[in-house]
Amino acid sequence: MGVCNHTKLYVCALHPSRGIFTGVGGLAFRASQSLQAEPPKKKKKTDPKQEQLRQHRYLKRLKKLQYKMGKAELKPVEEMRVDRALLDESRKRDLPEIPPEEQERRALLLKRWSKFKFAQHVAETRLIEGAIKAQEKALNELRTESEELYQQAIKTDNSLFPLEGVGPTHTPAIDGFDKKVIDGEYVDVTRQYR
Amino acid sequence: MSRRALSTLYSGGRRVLHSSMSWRKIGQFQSARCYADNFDEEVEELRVQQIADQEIPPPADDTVHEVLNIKAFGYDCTLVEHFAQYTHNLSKNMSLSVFDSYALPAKATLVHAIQGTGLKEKDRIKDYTLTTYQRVIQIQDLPSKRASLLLDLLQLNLPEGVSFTITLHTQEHYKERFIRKEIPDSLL
Repeated sequence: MGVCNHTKLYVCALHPSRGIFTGVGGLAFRASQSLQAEPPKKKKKTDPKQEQLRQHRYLKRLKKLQYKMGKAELKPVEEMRVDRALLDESRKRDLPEIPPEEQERRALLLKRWSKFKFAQHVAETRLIEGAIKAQEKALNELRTESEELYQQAIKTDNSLFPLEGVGPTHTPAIDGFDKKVIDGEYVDVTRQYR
Repeated sequence: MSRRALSTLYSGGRRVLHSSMSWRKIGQFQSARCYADNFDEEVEELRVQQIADQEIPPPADDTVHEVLNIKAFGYDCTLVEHFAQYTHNLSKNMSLSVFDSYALPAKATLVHAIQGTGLKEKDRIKDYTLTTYQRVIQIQDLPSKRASLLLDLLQLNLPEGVSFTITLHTQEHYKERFIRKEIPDSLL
């Protein structure tokens, strides 16, 4: 006669084929906790030196892999890239010949434009030079007044940065735009390079 | 909870990677003491490609600023590009040294309107992607006497729809430009 461990019922061993239960109580089947992994293994004693060696070797292997990876690449800037299809030779067109009057007109236009831009550049340079001159004069006067104040004036102002500047808009602010605004969200969908 | 957090939980708070195992097998981690204290952190660090630090020159003395990043950005690529060219030329004109000038990858923003389900398909507002283009000019050793002049000129010459920000250059700014490659699990 044996005793089943879980249920503690008596199972008759003399008639194994019959499997007669002679004990009292119902068949109380109990399911154990579902072990989705293997049952817990015995804890192995890990030698500290072995452990350290293993870790050291692992790190070394990682560093070797790093070296093999080579230099880091910059993220590509999409607007600088030209579509391969556009570089196709068959896309090239033969342009018509330009009559001499048109050529002359274009040359004169280019001259006027470059003259205009040069005048702009000169005006800006004069502005910069004037401002620098006035500043230097003021600083020299300050220096003659007091050396200490001059030294302090020359120093950098760390509270200046970070700084933001926003460009003008096409129209002034639209009246009542705040109330008309639609409920929504801005989601950053920039391509992440991994 | 993430897989990593779960596996940490099962192994009693300490995760140890043995060379014969991979990260994916949860429940096989044995809690063992880490003999190198920062082993876990080092492994985490080394999994991603290491980028060498950039050599950012310090300011020459206390009358000049550190390396500054002038970032021009906006929705119109041509205007942003031309404004970047303008700042470059302006700095040369004012005899300031330009450290570097580069483009950052464009940012894409999805504009999504939250609407009720009552509207018909043709009346709905469709989602739209806006791209913001960015250009950076780096100026080294800007004397503090010239700083206000430069900033005024930049602000006055800003085209429509373009903005700029000026910040101090850091290693993070430099490393952001690179692709963050990870070692694939198969090689570990």
